[in-house]
Amino acid sequence: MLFQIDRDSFLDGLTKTVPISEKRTPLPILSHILMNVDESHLVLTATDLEVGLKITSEAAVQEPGMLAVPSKKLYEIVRELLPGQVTVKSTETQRILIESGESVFELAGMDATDYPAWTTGKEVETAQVQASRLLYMIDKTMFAASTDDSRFNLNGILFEKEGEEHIKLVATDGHRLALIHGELGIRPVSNVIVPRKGLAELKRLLESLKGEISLGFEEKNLFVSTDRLMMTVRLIDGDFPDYRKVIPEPSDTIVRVPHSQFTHTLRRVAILTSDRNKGVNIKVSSGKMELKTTHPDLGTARDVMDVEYSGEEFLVIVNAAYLIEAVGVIDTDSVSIEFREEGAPVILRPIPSKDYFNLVMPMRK
Amino acid sequence: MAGRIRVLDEKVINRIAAGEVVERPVSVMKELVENSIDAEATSIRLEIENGGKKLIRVRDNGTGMSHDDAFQALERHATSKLKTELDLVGIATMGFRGEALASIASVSRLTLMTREEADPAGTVITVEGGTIRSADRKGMAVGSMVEVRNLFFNVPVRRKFLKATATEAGHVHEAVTRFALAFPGVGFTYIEDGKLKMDAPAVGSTYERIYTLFSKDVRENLVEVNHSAHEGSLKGYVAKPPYARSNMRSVLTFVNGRSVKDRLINSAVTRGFANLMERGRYPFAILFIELPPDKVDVNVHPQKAEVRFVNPKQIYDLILDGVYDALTGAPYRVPGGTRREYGLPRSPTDSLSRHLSREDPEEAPRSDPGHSASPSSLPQDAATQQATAGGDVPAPATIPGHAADVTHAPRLGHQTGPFSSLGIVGRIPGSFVILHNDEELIVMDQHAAHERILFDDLVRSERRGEHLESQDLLIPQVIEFSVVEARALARHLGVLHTAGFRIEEFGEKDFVVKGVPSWFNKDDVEGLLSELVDVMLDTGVRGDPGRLREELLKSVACRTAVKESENMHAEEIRTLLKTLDRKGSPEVCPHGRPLMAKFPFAEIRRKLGRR
Ligand SMILES: Nc1ncnc2c1ncn2[C@@H]1O[C@H](COP(=O)(O)OP(=O)(O)O)[C@@H](O)[C@H]1O
Repeated sequence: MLFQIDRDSFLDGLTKTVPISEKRTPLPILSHILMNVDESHLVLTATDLEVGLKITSEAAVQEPGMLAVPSKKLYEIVRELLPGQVTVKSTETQRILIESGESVFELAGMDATDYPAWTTGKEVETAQVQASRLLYMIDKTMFAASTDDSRFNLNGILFEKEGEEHIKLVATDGHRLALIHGELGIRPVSNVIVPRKGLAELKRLLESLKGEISLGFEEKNLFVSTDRLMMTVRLIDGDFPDYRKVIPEPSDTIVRVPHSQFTHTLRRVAILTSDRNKGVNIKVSSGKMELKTTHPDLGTARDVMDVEYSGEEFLVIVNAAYLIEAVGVIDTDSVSIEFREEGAPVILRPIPSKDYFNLVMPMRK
Repeated sequence: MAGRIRVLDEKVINRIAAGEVVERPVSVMKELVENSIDAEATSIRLEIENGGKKLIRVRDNGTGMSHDDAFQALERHATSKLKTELDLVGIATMGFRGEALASIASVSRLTLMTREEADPAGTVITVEGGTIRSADRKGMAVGSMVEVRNLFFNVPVRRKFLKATATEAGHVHEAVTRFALAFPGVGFTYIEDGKLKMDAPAVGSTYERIYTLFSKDVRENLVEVNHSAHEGSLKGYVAKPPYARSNMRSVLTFVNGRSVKDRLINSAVTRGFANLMERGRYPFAILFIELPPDKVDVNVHPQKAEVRFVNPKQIYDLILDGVYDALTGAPYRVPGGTRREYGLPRSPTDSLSRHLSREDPEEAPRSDPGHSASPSSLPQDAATQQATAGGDVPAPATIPGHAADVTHAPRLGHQTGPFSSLGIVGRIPGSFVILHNDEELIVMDQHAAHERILFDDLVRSERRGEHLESQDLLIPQVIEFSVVEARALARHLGVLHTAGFRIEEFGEKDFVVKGVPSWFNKDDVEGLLSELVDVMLDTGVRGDPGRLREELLKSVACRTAVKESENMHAEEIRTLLKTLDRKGSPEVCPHGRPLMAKFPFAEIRRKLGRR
């Protein structure tokens, strides 16, 4: 293996792949990046067996070849090199030589054939999707997914077919739920759950891309690709709970609040919540909303804001952090909050209404 | 000052519980020291030989006695403290029997040397087996000296019952310690067979006295107790577990300044330490109970160690609550230091009651307004910032579960408590958290620590009849049990409700979980419930409702606490430490296991071959 590559394009490839490989792993090979050089390209591959990413860069190749190289060290080296051409060369002894100007590095690598093979999704049907659209749908739901690794079926977003054309993304941790539906141009073969871990990588990738990507689903994998990169995310098998049962009929008890004021008020009173007292007491009366929190050791907070409401007075306790996150994903200036009888969910929607909403279960003392 | 001593009214004598005044050397010594204290001595020197069997000598710098009074004191039933039966009821001075000196003199060779201020010379009287052998005048300093030799020389039956020298000396030593604690304003010197065993100068507070009497390991673990209820108050110090002793002898209690060994008091103290002590370990506690004189009868036992309370239940609760709150309640006072409390104004600390600790400026809390920052205004620690902000390395999606780069020096701030001032080294993958202070490397069992916090919260809300916050479930979970299990569970749903579990019966064998505690971030309600049912069916605890509830809460805490294997970020470790401080938690889990193992750097250096 011998090739020259522009330092910046080399670094760009590594910046995207290294985070995936870097995780601590019992398999040493997974902390390596696979370098695969063909006639005119360098292909960098990283995987943690949950997520895989391949990035292709142009290179002036004298001699094709393959080698697995310690990813973090490689990244650190390339990051510190001066801009310009870098010469990369493998040795007989599975070492790699990196030369740039007067700098020479030699790193011990591992046999490329030990690198885990993974699905490339070549035969899968794909659709062109705006990266920002997929990102938007993930952002509106991911926050509600469970972070408890033991609830693996709640540990991600459900991608579900809806009607003939639509797709629905749903996430819940058992206390709250977020849902968005719409068109993506493609739908999974059956309903699938994309795990949190994969979503995080996917999100990061989507954030770095502009324009369209191709999106495809296989029974066990999700694929996202552009002309120079390709990501595979392994899907979870597992039953997603029947969320439909918990989404109630619309309620008449609707309070309209200004988005930013509500967020700020919540943040203020949330200062005096604690591990064991996460709730904010919300009292709504005609035109007013009072928010109160109590920290058992430190004290209390109280705040009042004007809201649009004209029904009877009522009281509800909601986890302040959940509420902040729920409002946080709403992207309109006004938010509608629907309340119901005790023990029933509180629903938050954008005003004007859009293709998403989320709900939070109340708390009790 | 002649005529100060009056002969007791016959009825009063009869009211005094019958019994022997003098039983063994320690009883003699107690009578003599009490006399010295009554005589306003500020310095008492005690000496014994052969466990007191050969010699007991008490010398004081008190008021002393006149020539006449010295003679009268050696007669039976002479006392200057009581006039009528009424005096006995509201008794407030230490001695009340009016027969001690005479009794002692009748069973030993006793020499009394005493001089009062007005008298130019002192009086020396020698008594042998109750008969005055000689009397003389002699120049001496104001004060008294009583020397008791060959106790029971004329009562062989009693002499035979005296224990080994070491045992008798042990009793005397313990009694001196108790006196020394009860009277910090009096200097005590104690000599055993010519060896100086205690040299405690007069000080201004009980805490300073403790400081001279006990070793560093005790002092470092002390927390202040300060609690009042009804008409009583409880003050003093207890050592925070895991510090423990191997017997009950370090529970030193006083009622209205009088040292007592009372079963009710001891069991309340022990109870206050329940769930903090391993089996077979005993607390260290120095506690002063103050009650109106008509609420307590100290005249029950001639040894004056037992007392009778008018309202035992109130006393029990007073002690239990006081001890428990000091050990687990937040905030609590660290003796002589700043309060472990953030943001809130300091309330004035009452020093121990006046006649115990003669007002002391040192004892008052050191107000330190500059350091009473609230936690939110605490500077975010640098390590955390670094850990969250990340360098220019693309941050990995999940922070790996190893001892990340969070090492930093222990925080020095005065506003932090002993836990939060520890430096976080990191976490062993899948295992314990490593901390350090200036002197030690510390391994913390984060599970045990979290369990401690949860358990204390649970117990507190249970005792207050509150419910912990409960988060409704989106989809209620139905769990099935056997008929027997279901019955047990149905009976105890209340305790679970306290803990924040909202569970309802749903048919004969099914239960529906509608809400879980808001901190409960595990999903395994079913596993937890079946464990709780096991506890409910455990015959060992079934019969004792109080203990059963406690065991249930212990299980809840244990199940919901972070696991040893669970990944904890630097920030979470930091929060855990802060909470331990805020809650004033003792360093043991509810099962009594220590939260931390400490490895002194000195030892490590030695192991590494360094000097
Ligand atoms: N060390 C002492 N200093 C001054 N007076 C003393 C001392 N010891 C005893 N007395 C006097 O002798 C009296 C009798 O003492 P005692 O027989 O011990 O009875 P009690 O102390 O119970 O009154 C006391 O009331 C006290 O006035």
